[in-house]
Amino acid sequence: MATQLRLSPQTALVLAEFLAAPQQWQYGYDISRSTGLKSGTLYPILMRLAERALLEASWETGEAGKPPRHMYRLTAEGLRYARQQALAPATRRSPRPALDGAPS
Amino acid sequence: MGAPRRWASRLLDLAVRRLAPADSGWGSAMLRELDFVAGEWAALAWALGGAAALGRHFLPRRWTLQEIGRTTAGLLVGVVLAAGVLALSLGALLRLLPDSFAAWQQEHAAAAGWLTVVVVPEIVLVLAVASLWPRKRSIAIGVVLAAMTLITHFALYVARHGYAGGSL
Repeated sequence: MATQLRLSPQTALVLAEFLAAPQQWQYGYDISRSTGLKSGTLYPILMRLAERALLEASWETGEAGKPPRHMYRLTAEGLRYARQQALAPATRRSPRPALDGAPS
Repeated sequence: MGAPRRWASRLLDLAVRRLAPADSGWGSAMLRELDFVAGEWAALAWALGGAAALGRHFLPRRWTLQEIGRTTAGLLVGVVLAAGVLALSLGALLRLLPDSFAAWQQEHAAAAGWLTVVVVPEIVLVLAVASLWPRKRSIAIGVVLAAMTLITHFALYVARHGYAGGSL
């Protein structure tokens, strides 16, 4: 199934970002900031990865009264696929800021 | 919250509402992330990108080629139907008026003209839209488009030539 995924440079960036902290859940905006991808590019990639069961998503159970945030991390198959593609974090391109004035 | 962020929120909210419930999770996720985007215009850019992504990803599923073809065919049928009504109305009234209402027509030439080419067809079209809307919406929309074109033409003509300019 994973072989059907078109591995664009942007997808490679996203996979590399997940590979940097494989077990850690990540937020969409944080991935956008660290990869330099805008929402219109990032989310289609996340959707495609999730459709191919390479990515799992979960709603964070945050503070009471605040709406939950969506978090993402690679599945076991996703990790295998990312590693197969030899996407070590050190090989990825240097990130550009996705949006000006991003919070620290 | 500034205006750009408000627009951003509304835009994404609107996009999420257009999605099927099963697909709306991704839109809700983008909407939630909006709270963390620093900068008003950056928030708007985030929403624009997100809405475009949702459209590109989910609309093709809902708007299959067959569905688009069916809707387009419906619209065309509606427009043709409206043109047919207009032609019929014109033909019938042009025959009817001189035969049955010759005196009235001579006295109210402008009114007779507009009655023939605008009023009667528009009434028929409105009735057609009302009856088609619940069952054949795409055809009804085609009729509405034709009716609006006719009424716009009428308004522009009257604005330019005056009411009496419509006499036959």
